[in-house]
Amino acid sequence: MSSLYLLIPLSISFVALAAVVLVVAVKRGQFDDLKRYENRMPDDF
Amino acid sequence: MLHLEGLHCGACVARLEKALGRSAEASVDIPSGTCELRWNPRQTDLSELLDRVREARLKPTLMAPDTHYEDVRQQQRTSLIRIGVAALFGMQVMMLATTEYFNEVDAAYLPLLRYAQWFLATPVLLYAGWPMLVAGLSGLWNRALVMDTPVAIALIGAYSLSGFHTITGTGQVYFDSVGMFVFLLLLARHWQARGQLLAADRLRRLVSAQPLTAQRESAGRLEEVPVAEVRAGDIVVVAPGSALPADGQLLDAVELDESLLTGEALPQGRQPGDVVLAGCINLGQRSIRIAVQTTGEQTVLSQIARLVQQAHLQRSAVMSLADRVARWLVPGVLLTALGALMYWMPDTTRATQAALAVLVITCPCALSLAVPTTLAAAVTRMGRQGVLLVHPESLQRIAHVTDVVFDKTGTLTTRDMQIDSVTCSSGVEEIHAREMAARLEAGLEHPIARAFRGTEKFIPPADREVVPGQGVFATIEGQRWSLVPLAAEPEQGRSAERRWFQLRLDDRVQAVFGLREELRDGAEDVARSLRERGLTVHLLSGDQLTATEAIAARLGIQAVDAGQHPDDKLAYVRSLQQRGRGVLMIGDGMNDGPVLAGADVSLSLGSGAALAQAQGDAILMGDDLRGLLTLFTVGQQARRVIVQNIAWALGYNLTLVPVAFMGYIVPWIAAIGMGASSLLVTLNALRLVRSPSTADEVSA
Repeated sequence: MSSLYLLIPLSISFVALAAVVLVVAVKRGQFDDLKRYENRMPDDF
Repeated sequence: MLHLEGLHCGACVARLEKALGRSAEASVDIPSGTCELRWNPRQTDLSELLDRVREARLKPTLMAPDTHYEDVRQQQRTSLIRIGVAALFGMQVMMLATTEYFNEVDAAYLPLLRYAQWFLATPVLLYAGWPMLVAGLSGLWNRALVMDTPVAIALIGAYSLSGFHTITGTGQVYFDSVGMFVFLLLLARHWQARGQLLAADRLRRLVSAQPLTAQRESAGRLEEVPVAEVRAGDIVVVAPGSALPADGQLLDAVELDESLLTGEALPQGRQPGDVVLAGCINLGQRSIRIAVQTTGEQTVLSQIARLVQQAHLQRSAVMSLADRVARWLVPGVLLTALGALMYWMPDTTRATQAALAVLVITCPCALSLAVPTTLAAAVTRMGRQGVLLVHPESLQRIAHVTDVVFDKTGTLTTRDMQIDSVTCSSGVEEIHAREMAARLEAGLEHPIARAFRGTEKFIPPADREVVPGQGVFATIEGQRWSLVPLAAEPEQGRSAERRWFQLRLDDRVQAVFGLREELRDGAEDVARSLRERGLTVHLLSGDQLTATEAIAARLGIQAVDAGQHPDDKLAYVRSLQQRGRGVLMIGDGMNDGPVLAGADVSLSLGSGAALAQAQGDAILMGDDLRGLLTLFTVGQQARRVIVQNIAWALGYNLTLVPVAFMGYIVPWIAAIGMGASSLLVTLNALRLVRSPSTADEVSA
């Protein structure tokens, strides 16, 4: 059970990392226009 | 900001960047066809940049920076981050909390689990839940109790008590309830706001289609300037098909599309010296010159816009159903919690616990979700059926509607006309007469020309003359043809409800055409269904009485009023409202703005003017009027679901309050009960998204 002292802080840091990734993604406008790529020409035509 | 016509793909962007070179930096948004330019005004002129954009075969128009749209987008981003934070951290809290629910946890590890929950719940409350805390506490501060007040008190209470229990190592912790509550509430509010973003986006694209630059004549040359720089006394030139940038005196004869301002569908012939208004469109083949008189805020168009705002303010006084419930529920909740506190007072721990139990159990979580989730579901459902709900709360007013008022031009009728009677002189074949009329009107862009032209494409005659109010004259295959308007004369079989034209070869009459307005798709169905629902249908129009009555007769509408100005229409609606009627107004065109804002519920057509769009509670995106029936169906269903949800939430809270008051509620049961109750309300609302109905099948 003492492994919890390692695992819980570890899981908290993973969640924090996930939150940072989300913030960066939203701020860069990734979720602003979800349809943008439907209308885009593929690169390998 | 620029709106670029002809921007389709990555290749266009590459072309644009190449043309601009190093003089400016462009960031392009392909779907909306807009482009943000950054440049150094000391090195390069705007007009020079625009010339370069034109070299890239793109047609630029300047756009006003739309701060409202940017604000909404920023809000959406923030709300998405808040939801994400609440979900990620809340989920972790819940994972740790469940160990305590279902296992006997070794006392040695309990502090670890609880401090970890505390740590994780903090960003959920202080960052994700921040808007609720601010709204709730400022409501308390201003003594205007809002739905968020008990939410904020319960959140802070549950959080602080849990913190206290964590430190002392006693009692229960409720960090998981905090996380779940914040997450569910944020999600519901986000969905609701998303529909409004879609509406703002659509509006932005429409507004961007109107030019904000003007061609100004100075010292015999033309220069392109922003409309804001045009002054009274300037001469501006308006190209064919473009909108007038300012009010002023006309210097050349022309036909104008004034439908945006007057609702008049037919082109209006204007002579030099006439005063013409900003927002009208030049329908002629040549550029026209205008001596500017008023610009900007002073134009008639801007004044109509202000009238719209005023009318809109009057309506915001009406409270929504949920607010009315909150107004008496919230003080009750707070008083009961206070009562529980007093009741147990000598025993401090028990007193705080009972008071908080009351707050958590009466926590109007389900109640505050009841309305927003239902409205969000309704927005989604209507969106699928081509009806954009701009003000979802208007759905609650649908049930009170007793009268439906239609605007005629552009709403019940399309802006197109059709040839509806042809009388040929002896020896002339109808097909030949139609062809000659089509060739005369080839390449002209107004409703009458489009009606004659049909689907065929002819080359416009070389020497064609279009004389406003007099007709079209041209030489075709060496013969002199003309198409001239005729006055309506009922005694000679030319009824007043149509527009009449005569086709002539030299001076001999070849044929007489009668044109009438075309009804919009579904107009007949809608008028009939509305009557079957027991609603009174009215028809208001700025057009002449005869034309209006003809349309009313075709649709079986009895209440008709013609020749109405925007303020007449508003007065008409107001007088209905004074007699206790609920009015739904359907309109199109900017002149309907005030009356749309004054009606109880308003619907505008997607092809209508930008301002009317902003005004409508809902926007019909297709050309089919049957979306109106969807509005009624979904409105009634939504109201039913809201009533069910509120009844459930209130019943649940009221039943359990006495139990909580007496301190009998086990905290984790309270938390699960709250969650289940919220979930039930949400699922009930989501039924709205799925359930198809007969009215929808009709509109599909």
